[in-house]
This record gives sequence, C-alpha cells and structure tokens, in this order.
Amino acid sequence: MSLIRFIKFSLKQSPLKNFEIYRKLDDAKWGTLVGVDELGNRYFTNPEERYGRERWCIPAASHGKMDASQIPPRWHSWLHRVTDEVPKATAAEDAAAMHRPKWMVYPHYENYTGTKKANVTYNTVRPKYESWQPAVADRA
Amino acid sequence: MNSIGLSAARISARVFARPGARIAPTQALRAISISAVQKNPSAVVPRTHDEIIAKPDSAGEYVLSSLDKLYNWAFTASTWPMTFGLACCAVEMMHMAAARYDQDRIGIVFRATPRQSDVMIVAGTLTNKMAPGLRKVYDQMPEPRWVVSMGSCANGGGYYHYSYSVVRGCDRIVPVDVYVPGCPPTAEALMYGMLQLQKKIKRNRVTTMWYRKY
Repeated sequence: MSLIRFIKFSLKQSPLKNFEIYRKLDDAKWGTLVGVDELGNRYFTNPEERYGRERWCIPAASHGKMDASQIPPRWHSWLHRVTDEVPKATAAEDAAAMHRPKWMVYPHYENYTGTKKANVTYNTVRPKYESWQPAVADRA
Repeated sequence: MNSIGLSAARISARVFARPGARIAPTQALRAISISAVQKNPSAVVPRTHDEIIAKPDSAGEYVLSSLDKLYNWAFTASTWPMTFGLACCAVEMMHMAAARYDQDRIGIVFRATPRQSDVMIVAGTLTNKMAPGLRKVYDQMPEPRWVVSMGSCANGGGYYHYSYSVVRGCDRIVPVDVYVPGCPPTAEALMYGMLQLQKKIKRNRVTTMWYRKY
C-alpha cells in the first residue's frame, strides 16, 4: 500500500521536484501549495492523505541546515491543525488580519543554539543559597 | 553563582560585541561590556567550531577538518542511545522509538548495554540511590560519548528539587550535552533534542584538536 502511494505521488510531478521532496522529507508527497512564509518555507496540503499527514512543509533550508525551529509560530499552528487560518504573506497584512502581538518577532528566526547568536544566561540577583565549602578538620 | 552569572555576561559581551550594537540590559552589565570592548578593540573574535570546519584557514587545517567531517558524518548517522529510563519521561522516550516518530530513520537504535552505545538519555528523576548506578553506566560507555538530559527532573531536579532523596540535576553526576526541557518533554521535543545533539556531533573536531595538541 505504501509502495503504491509512493509511486502514485512520484508520478504526479517532475523528477526534480521529487528529488527535493525525497531528500528533505524522506517520503513521496504531492499536494496543493497553500502558502510561503517569510523564510521561504513552502506549505502544502493534500486532504486525501491519511490524518496527520495531510499538511506538510518543505523547508527552504538545505538538507543539512533544516531545523524544526525554522517554522514561524503562526504556520506552526496551521501545520499542527491548531487552526485552519492561513497566515498572511507580509507582516503588515498579517498584523491587520490576525492581530499579531507586537512582541512577536517578524521575520521569524531559528534556534541559534550552538552558534554565536546563542542565548547565554546570566544572573543579576543575589544567590538564594550558598554553596558548601567543605573544610578538612585537622585530625591530630 | 553570582560570579558565574557575571562571567556568562562577560562571555556574552565578548561574543555579541559588534560596533553600534546595544548589548546589556542593566547598568552594571552595560558598564562591564563597554569596558571589555574598549580595552581591546581589535580583539580576535573567536570562531565557532562550525566556522572552523566549514572554512578552514590552511591546507593542513583543510585536511584535518575534512577528516573531522568524515568522522562526524559516520557518527551522526548512528547514535545509539543507552536507555536510562528512570520515570515517566521513559514513556515519552519509548514514543520516540515507536511508529509515529520512528527514531530508526535517523539511525537511533536503543541498545541495552552501555558497552555498545554512544549516547545516554537520562529520562526521569535521578534519585540519590540511583546516582552511583548512573555514573557507573556512564563510565562503562566507550568514548566518544554523549549525554542527553531529558525532562525537568534530570535537568535540575524539577518537581523534586527540594526532596531529600533526589539529585538536583543529573549534570551533578555526568557531563550533559543536551538538555531537553519539559515535564515530561514530548517525543517530538526529545527528537528535536537528538537532532540538536547530531548538530553538536557535527561540530566535533577530533583530528584538529589532536593536531593542536602535538
């Protein structure tokens, strides 16, 4: 069944497109383009697919650099069926249509862990407890 | 703890130092960061491991970083975790292995022996009684080895932080590479943590570091 599905979807589009999909998603996919976000990720849907597989994203980043955190929050909720509303293309449109809060970053950025932009925590308040500094008692 | 915080702020000031960029949120920190920048304006910006591997400086470095890439590639394709399921997090860890998230497709296969595993997933509350066991299992793993701390309890004691019988974070016992937050983290989150670990393995510089040593 899975093989039939694989061949069916593979035959519906060009080999070049298929290559990208195989490379990035490890699967054959075919569907209608719903939208493109600010990072260039493309979002697709195919309602005939099994539940849980009917919405997917082809990341703009290459195979080695793609990361789950590259998906903006609005698109994430669409992707995970939290909402059926499709986010708008630009920040202004999206803010007008969907009341984007001002604190929400635009354009979205990925998780910077492991790069120079990584978040480094620091503390500015007095420590609540002190560490134990063991002293060796002199046993005569 | 305060000194740790300040040194972290200093590191961040050094790492993020760019001309015209606002850096520190508080007055004290701003003073520190500005003085750090003013003292050595031509300070060498440290390169990350990623950059050293991606853009080698010399021919020797090119050869060694290529060897590193090969080594890292071979490792990222098969990170076999030692399952250290201690509490409810272990159930989510099993979900990662099950059909929906299917860890096999990124080369993760649970191994029940520490002798043949590369990664240890500490899933759950680490109690004082279990701590020597955890350390022993870690010591039995061959180098190179990595540790993923999964869930609040393993990260820092979590709900049981003030309990008399719980270790306040498994990083008191073993060095941790990736912390996965959550109580328990979803299988998705753990999978993301494993992918972050793969990224970290790709930054590994075994031969380059060997060369620098001799």
